Amino acid sequence: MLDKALSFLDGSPRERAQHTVLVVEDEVIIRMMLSDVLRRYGFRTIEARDAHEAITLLQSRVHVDLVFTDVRLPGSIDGLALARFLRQTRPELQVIVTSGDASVGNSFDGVGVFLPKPYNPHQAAGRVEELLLGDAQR
Amino acid sequence: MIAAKPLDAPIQTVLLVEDEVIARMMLAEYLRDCGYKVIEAAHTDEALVVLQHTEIEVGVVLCGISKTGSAGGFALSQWIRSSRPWRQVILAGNHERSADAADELCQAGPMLSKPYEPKVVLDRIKLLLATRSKTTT
Repeated sequence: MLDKALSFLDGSPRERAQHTVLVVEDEVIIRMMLSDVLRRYGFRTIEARDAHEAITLLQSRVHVDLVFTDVRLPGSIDGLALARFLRQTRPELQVIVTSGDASVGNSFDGVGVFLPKPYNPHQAAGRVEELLLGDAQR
Repeated sequence: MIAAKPLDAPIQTVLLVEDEVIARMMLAEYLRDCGYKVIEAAHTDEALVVLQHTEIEVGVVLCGISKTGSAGGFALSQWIRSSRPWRQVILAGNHERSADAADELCQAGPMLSKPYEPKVVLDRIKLLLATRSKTTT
């Protein structure tokens, strides 16, 4: 049981810390909780409240491996548009899109992995692990 | 090189309110490297949401004074001092805007100038937390 509880620590801390997750979420408590859990899993995490902030960060020299974005965001660009933009401009990035609207999961084939809301932060961190650590986890 | 915090020291939480995302990210990372837990708020409305969650223990609020959100940094500072007086607040901004806003709101408080000097911010946070620790013991 303890092994299972601690299984999230598999993989070296150094390997995890080399991966940066950009969390794009306008609900500050959700963003804080998810970022906090991802940091506990050993990932470097940076935060944006909308797509414009996310693009500003991505256009800076900050290294990002995975973008985790909510669909519903304030401003003129929603999470789906952000995911499509990243697919065209930064195809090397992994993208997870989350929404409370399950039908969204069918409408963005090829631009990311869909995670329905509400999600447990640990469940979200598990998806991040699968995408970033992949074979190293198995 | 950043000095490590003593192992038995409690982790203090800093609520960083800053609308410039690059400045917010860089300062948050610096403070985390120094051993603090940092909650990032992009504007004062987000900060109020965090502060109204009483189970979230915030030691220091570091707030830029720009007017993003429904309230500016000075208004947030006034709200904290009236409703959460045990919390420490640091305001940051460029001098001209700070002077104008302070004049408008008759607000006094510890000020930092922008752009942020991370070491100066760190020293101010340490000083405030030490002061609070003395007054509560």
